[in-house]
Amino acid sequence: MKKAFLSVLLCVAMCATLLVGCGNKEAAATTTTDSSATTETTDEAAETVTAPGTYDTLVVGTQVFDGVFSPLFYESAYDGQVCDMIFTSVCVLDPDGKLVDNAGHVEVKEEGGKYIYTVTLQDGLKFSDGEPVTIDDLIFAYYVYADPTYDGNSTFGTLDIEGMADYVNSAAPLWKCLMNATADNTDFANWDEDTQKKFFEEDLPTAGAAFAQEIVDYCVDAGYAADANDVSTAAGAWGFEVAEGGTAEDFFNAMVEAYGGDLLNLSNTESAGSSLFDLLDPAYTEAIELTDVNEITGIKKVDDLTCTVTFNSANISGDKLVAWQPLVPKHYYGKDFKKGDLTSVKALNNAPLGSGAYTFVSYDNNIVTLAANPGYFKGAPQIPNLKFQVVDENTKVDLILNGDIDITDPSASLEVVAQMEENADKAAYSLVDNPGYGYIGINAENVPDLNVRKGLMCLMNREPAVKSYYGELAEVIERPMTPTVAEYPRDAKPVYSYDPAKALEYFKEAGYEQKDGKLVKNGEQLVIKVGIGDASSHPSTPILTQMANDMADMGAELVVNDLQFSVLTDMVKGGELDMWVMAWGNATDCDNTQMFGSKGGSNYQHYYSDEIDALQAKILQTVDFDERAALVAEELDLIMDAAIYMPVYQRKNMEIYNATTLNIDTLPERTTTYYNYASQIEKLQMN
Amino acid sequence: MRQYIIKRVVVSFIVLFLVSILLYSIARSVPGDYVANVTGGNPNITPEMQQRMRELYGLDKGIFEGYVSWLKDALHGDLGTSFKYQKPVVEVIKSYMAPTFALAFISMVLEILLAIPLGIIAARKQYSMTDYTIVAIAIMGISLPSFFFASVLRRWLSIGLGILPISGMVTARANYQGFDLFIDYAKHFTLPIIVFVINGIGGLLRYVRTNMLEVLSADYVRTARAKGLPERKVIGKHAFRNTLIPIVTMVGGMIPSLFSGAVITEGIFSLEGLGRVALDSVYNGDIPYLMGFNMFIAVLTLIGTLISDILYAVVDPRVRY
Repeated sequence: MKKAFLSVLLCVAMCATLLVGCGNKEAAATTTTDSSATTETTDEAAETVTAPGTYDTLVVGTQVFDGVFSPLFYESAYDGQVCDMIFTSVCVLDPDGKLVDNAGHVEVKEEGGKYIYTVTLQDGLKFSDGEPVTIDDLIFAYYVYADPTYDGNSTFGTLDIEGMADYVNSAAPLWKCLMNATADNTDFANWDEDTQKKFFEEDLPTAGAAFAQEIVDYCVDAGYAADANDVSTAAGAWGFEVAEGGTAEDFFNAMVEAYGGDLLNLSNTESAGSSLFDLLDPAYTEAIELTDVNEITGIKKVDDLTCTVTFNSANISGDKLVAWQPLVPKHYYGKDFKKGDLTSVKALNNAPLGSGAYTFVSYDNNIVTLAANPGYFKGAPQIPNLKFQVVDENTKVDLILNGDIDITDPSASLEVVAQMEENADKAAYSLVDNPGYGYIGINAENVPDLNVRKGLMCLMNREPAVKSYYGELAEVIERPMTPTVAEYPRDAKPVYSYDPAKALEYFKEAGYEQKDGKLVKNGEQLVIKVGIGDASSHPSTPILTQMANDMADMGAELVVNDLQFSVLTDMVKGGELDMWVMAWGNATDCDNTQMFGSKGGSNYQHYYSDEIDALQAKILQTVDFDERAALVAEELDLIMDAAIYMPVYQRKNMEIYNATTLNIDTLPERTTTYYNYASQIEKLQMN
Repeated sequence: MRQYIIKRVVVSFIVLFLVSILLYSIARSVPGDYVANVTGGNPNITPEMQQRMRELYGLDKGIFEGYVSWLKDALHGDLGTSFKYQKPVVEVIKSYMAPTFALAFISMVLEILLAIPLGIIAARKQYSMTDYTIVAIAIMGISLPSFFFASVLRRWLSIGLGILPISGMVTARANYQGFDLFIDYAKHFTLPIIVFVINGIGGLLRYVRTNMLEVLSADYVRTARAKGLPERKVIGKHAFRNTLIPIVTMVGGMIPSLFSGAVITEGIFSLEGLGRVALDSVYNGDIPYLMGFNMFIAVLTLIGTLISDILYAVVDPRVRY
């Protein structure tokens, strides 16, 4: 009896565990009804769009969504695709990548060394809920980007706009405040004198010594220094001078001096594991509110449709940064927005509302459903429903040919192009340049000899590798910048052509000689450690294979590490590789400071040149295009001469269309990197 | 019995605690954190921005400190906000759970319904043609890689014959409602379920067969036959009931797999399930999600084993705790 009761109980328990799943189905269903309810009310307000032909729903095949449908926060390009349909930007890019007016206009004028951008919006714009669009909605977006707790992709908060730094940094960890205030500070409003004294006289030097000691220990492990007390040799190996018998603290001071006191940069660049601030007492990492800055002084509202943004210095992309921005309804997203708390804004990530061509209906079953916005300012779209469906990369072509979806973007390959040509009656395609490029980087700290680096460059046979992988779908490029950027020097000549004999010459110049079939210098063989992600399907793999063979013939060795991407990134950042294969994407301008500047966060080749720094600073201030392009060419030549970056390929992106359902004639005349069907979605028609 | 259950529950909590420490340390030690992954390849990101994001996400803290703050929140029922989805972890799990569960549950039921009778038939006719055929098919099912099998089925049934959809959960172009929507779901789930069942049935089937063989040679079955009972009764009443004992425990252990998802199958068929989300969170270093989801699976595993242990005692009178 007891047992029967128990078994019933257990069965109930089991079912209860299983039912958790069903309960959620209901929950999911309610959320969708909620969101559709909001849109229904808006639909009532205006007339609806009906389709003239057979098809009334455009299905775009896309890849996995994060579900962050907010132009302020999305990270994935696929979430961004959806946002582009729902929101309007003040200005947009034309097919050539130039900024042109859309819902508004931007102008810049120089005044006393400051650059003032004036943004004006068109009159009469409305959000899909019927509320008018005003300049406050744009300013709201600026303030979200600049929020101290903002964690999205926009770099707006780092721009040199008047009052921006004060606004962003008004709350900071104690160590940062102390560091900015320096030891001479006498204002003790936010912390007391003892704290400051203790920090600069005891805690920071202690942490610094521990930081330096970590480097020494690392050098000992790597065999560069004899033991943990041999600070001088270790510092030498790390590129700093410390007198014989110096301590870890001396080493740290030497680093501080070399960085001119910029401890953040020092910690990021030199760390042998822990960051300097990890080694401080945790009490220093707590944030304190410095001052009550609630306004960015450089952003001013002029009238309901106009505002000005004042930059302290020239910025070649200033107009894009200011005006290529979405209009985000403040009355909807900003109801409960306070500085330092973006939760209420983020809470609406799954229920976007804007003034774009389409309005959001629902996101479920891996499909985002949108409905045409009859009040769209460029005219109501002609296709009533737009759906973005998640599809697998390998099925994209089949789905188009099968008629399940209408537009998608498979990765461009010769096979897909052939399939498209074969089915020319059912499908069409377009190819555009990808705004990025593939490269092979060399770590100048691990391979300090310029001649060795040049020798390595002469062993990279790029052309056959790229052609065999991509055919006509990629081209070999000669400078480390994507040719989609207007400043790219199109007439640049190759600097290092494939020539093993020349490479051997360079190696010999560097002091290497061939002994017993080995290429050695001071008894040590030339061994280069290179990292590549997913080598089996990487276009640069043949380059490395050929390089390894050539080097083996000379008596040197190329150790190829096939790594998972995040491991590769980590090893590149940690400086553990001599050479690596990677790619850049999303390039929007010719600013190279992050990659090649001495203080650049992505300068993993660790090559520092004042000449390059000076040129980069000049480029960013040069507003005239031709002048700037000449400077860029000069900068790129310097980078090539340093033999740290070998640009490999510029590939193409592909878009394929279903010719049965779509009226192909209504696609843009010219599809480019900056301009595709989505740019003029309101003109697209279905059969 | 009650004492045994209490003891097991207490032990489960200790195990959970240790599992959480282990998971957290592993998750944080994976090379490349979320900030590095999400900003990688973007030339405009500055080190200051990365540093600020690390502070916001708590990634600037050490493993121990990070764990303590995670544990504190978790004990208050807050599993944190997923970095990637920008939503509370519990909400993310909930929103992706339905398809995963539906797929796994239907498949599990079909597997059990097919494996048990087939296993019994194979055992009764040991070394016959039927036995060999069933076992051979079962082993082929285990051995077929799901991505390959899925592609073959799709080429044949979707692209070739055009009777089933290629991928997805519903037909995007149509706006089905009500019963039509249900049929549409069913059509889209048919292929994934076939793949699931064929791949998963082998293990259970062979288990049933082996157990049945053991039971069939037991004394009480011979006694039953000697008594002159009809074969149907011998199998149905005496043998089958006894083979149920190990199967019940096996099914208890399958509970966590109902929610853990199937990365490859979900990916190939573009289903919005937990498996794919979990894999992505590993790649991205989405620590809160990874922790939340793994703890969820850990709890289910513990409940599953507990239930099957207890059921063992219930169905097998010889077992006493």
